[in-house]
Amino acid sequence: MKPAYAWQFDPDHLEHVPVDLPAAITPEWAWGGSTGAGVKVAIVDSGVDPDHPWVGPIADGVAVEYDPELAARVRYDEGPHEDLYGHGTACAAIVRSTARDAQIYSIRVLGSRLSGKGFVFAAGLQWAIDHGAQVVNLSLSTPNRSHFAAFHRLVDEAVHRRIMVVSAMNNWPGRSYPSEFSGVFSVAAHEGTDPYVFDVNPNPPAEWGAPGIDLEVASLGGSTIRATGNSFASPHIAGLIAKILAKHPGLTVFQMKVVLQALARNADAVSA
Amino acid sequence: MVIPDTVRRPTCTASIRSMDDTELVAQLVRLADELGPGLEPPGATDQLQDVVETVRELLDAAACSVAAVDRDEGTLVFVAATGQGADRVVGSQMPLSKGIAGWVVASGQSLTVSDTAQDSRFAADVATATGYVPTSLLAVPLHSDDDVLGILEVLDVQVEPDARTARLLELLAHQATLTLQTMEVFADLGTALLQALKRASDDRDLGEALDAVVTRTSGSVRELARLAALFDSLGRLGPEERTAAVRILTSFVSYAQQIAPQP
Repeated sequence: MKPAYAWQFDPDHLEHVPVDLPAAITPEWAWGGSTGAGVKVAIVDSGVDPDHPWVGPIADGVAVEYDPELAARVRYDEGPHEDLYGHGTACAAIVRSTARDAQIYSIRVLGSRLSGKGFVFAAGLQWAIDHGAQVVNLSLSTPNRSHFAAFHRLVDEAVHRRIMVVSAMNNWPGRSYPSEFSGVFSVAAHEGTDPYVFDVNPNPPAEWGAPGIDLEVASLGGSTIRATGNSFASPHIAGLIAKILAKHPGLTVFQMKVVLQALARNADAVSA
Repeated sequence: MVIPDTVRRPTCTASIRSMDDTELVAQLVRLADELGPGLEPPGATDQLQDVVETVRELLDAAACSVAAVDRDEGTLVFVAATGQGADRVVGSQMPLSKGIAGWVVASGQSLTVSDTAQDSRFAADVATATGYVPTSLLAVPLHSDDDVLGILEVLDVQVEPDARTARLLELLAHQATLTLQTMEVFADLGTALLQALKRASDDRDLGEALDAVVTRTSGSVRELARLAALFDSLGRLGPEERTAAVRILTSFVSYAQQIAPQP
């Protein structure tokens, strides 16, 4: 079964979006010659394996753990850590597929503990914001309404600091935070494997469509697996944003959305 | 969580009406010993069975199941299933540390697997034991607050859902979550009250016994026991005090609903 919201990017149903810009935005203008060099991309996930051949060395990392004994209820263990599930490694490899020189930061929030996931997730996003991430990939979400306000505040803070938060929609229909917020780049999967082909949905919250169905992705121990999920669509958009940002470092979040919209497969130029 | 019918419907040897308080407490203590935490609201597993059958029908899937998290035992317990291998699935358990289901509980994230043979997280031995090994599966966490209460698993989906079906799937998953939540609260409250009754059998006041439960427990059991103790105290006050308490609680609930974020 395709992940939830993937049907909105079915070519038979996807509406074309009129884009009227003062000058043409082309792939060459946006990312031509860029490798994402120097752009800090945080992968908030299960950890990243730098030994995987599709990933390579990463800049740094932190493992965030739920600790009910602490007042803040979370503990930060900075430095190298393993990927517990392979999910974060898959996302990092996808970012590298377009932005091969981006600086990858692994922020591990998916652990073995069964409680406190929302706190840990929010703390991981806060760490990314506080440590200079320019792009944050969130191939995870929470349906918990009690975290609505915390994530809303974090996303607003990120937008104000020109930090691009890219967030996968839930694979199962239903509410999910922060992927439904307008300040993030909400992504669902579409058919296809070309990392440079993506769609824009005029009826968000699933705003962007990118490859995420039946893909070969990186996994544990240097291996690969065939997988499906909105989780894998999100880092495709994160990688392209890193690539654009390396060439146009001053873009705000909403300017980046305009650039992406102009380059989307289903965008129709109104004036040339 | 699931208990045999023979335990669920114990027979009373004496009419409750004919018992004095001491006999009644003694009888309840005996029930507490028999039941322990194994309480379940009536119809809960039927509701879950309805959910899995409807999901399977909507997606034309080979099978669908719901498993509940048992934190004390560190396992997932399958409480409802339909389709291929269903008869062997219900009642079976698997460790939380194992398989794709375990990953979904630990991460709190839903997961789609296109080819189980290629995914090292897939517990092939567990699937083989049910007599059906799927090619693809979708596992969805059933959340309550910050915890995952269980998972909904769908095997070999044949129909891609449209927007209307997606809405139905969302509601069905919510229904399953509410049922698991009710089962958990029921078991927690039952445990707290039965513990209190056992302590009250030593000629102690029920409210004091509930307070004692509060001091010895944590989490939702503790909160429920505290609430029960407060209601026990309220019940001993006069009608004016009870009316005032109802007004205060009503105002608080109204306020809490206003400030709660909307979906």
